[in-house]
Amino acid sequence: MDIKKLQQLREWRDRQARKEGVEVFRVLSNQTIEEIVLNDIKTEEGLLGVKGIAEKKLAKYGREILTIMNSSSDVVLDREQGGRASQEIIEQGGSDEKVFSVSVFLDLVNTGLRTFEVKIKGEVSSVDERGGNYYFGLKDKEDGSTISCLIWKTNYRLAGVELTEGMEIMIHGFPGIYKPNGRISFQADSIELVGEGALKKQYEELKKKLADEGLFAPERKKPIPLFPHKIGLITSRQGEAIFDFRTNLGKFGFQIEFFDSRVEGVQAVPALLKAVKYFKNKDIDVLVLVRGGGSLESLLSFNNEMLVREIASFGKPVVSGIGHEQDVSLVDLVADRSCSTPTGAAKLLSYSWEQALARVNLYEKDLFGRYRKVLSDRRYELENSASRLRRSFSAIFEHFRQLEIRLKEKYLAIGAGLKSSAQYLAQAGRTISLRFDSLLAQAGERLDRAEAAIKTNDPARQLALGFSLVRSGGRIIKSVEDVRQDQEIKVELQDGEITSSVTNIQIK
Amino acid sequence: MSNKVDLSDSLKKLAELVSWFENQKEVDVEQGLAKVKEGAELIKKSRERLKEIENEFEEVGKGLEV
Repeated sequence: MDIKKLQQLREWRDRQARKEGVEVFRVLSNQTIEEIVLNDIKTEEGLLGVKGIAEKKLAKYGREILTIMNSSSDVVLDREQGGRASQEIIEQGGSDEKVFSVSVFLDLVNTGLRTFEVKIKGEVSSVDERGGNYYFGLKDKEDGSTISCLIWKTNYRLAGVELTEGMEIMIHGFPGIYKPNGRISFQADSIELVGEGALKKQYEELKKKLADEGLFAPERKKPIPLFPHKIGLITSRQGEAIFDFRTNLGKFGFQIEFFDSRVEGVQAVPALLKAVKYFKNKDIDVLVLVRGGGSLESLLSFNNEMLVREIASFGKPVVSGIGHEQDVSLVDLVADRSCSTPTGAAKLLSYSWEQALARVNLYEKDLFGRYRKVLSDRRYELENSASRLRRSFSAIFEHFRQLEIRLKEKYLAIGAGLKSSAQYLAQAGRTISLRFDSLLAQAGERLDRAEAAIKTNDPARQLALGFSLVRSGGRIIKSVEDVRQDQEIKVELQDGEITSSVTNIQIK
Repeated sequence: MSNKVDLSDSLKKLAELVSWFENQKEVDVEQGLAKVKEGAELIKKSRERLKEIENEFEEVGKGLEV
């Protein structure tokens, strides 16, 4: 590695960060700078392939980075009016007889040592906490060799391991010389417990602690929405998990926002935390964390307390699909739904969509089936009614027919009756006529006899014979008792009437 | 693109239409036909949404420092 280029880039990065008033890693991280120098990247395309540089950073810093990478170290430093160490190198003209100040020398040594990123395993021999940062000794169990180590508080919290003397650990980081005292120390950025037993113990303790806080309680679980559409996906670009997830996710037009994250190793926890935080305010329906299977040791990141708490406080439903051989990871326990594999997580998200399809088919069958039955029932009812009507009309017609027959019979009977009556009447007429004639003759005879009798008894005839009729008050006097003394009476004679008065009454 | 509310709503309405037929002692043919027409429309729209659509995949967070 070109140490000078490394130094130049770091100095430029530090100046730039000061100028912008941001932390240095916001401009470029040490890792990014080292990757650029290590791979001797001198083109824009090359820079885009470096982790930590995207289009935005390329546009902002690309020209200056490439100027440094494509120029002679001395010239660039001169033009950039770089740091004291580089200036002193230039002052020495780049010759073999360089003379450095102590500080510059230590800077150069530290720059070199920075590249010795390693993992060290040992036993904690001492622990000292100052301002949240931890200073500890790490001792070789075989021969007692010891190195001083430190871990900054942020990384200590991330590690989730509580350092105690005698604990066997594995740390990751790089060595450096502490300039004020010239002693070498190891700057750790992660701590892991060593040994299945220790890991298991740590896992169980943390699990109990978080469970006691209620982080795994069923009532905290958020329901997975029906028909999730926007999915935040966190996993590694490299693993099979992403392939399994995408392959088994149904094609329902999902919008997947994928955040590439390490899922194993020392960088996994900060990477996963970063990814989860990225999605915190994003418009997604569900967040998915998937990873292929692994041992308890390889799944350490998913048992990290900070990650578990970050997921517990995530506002949207979280689905985990983390393969495991034995113990379920704590991320699985805190997730709103956990699946045993990335494939399971994909199928879970597709489930409501697939079910919807089945339900639509079922509803279609049900709805049309029911209506067909309604129509069928109505047709049957209509046919039944028509049949009943036909039967009813037939009965009515039959009744009319019978009535007609009876009517005809009656008509004929009446006709016959009438004919008979006419004959009878004709006969009766003749009989009556004969009888009438007879009666008339008899009546004539009787009249003749009556006339003769009348003639015989006619008063006028009697008057003519000398008899008279005596009346008083219009009444015929038949007895002396019918008159009184001096009563006026009228005597009718054949040829007139005499008015007289009763002068004497003599009874016989 | 997303119309998940419509889909949920459509399925709910379809379930209600089926229930309507279940709950009627005697279905009026005209009313039944109107319900079936409504259901057919909902089924058509739901099927449209549920047909195979390629997923969109986008990588995010590139360039973010860890």
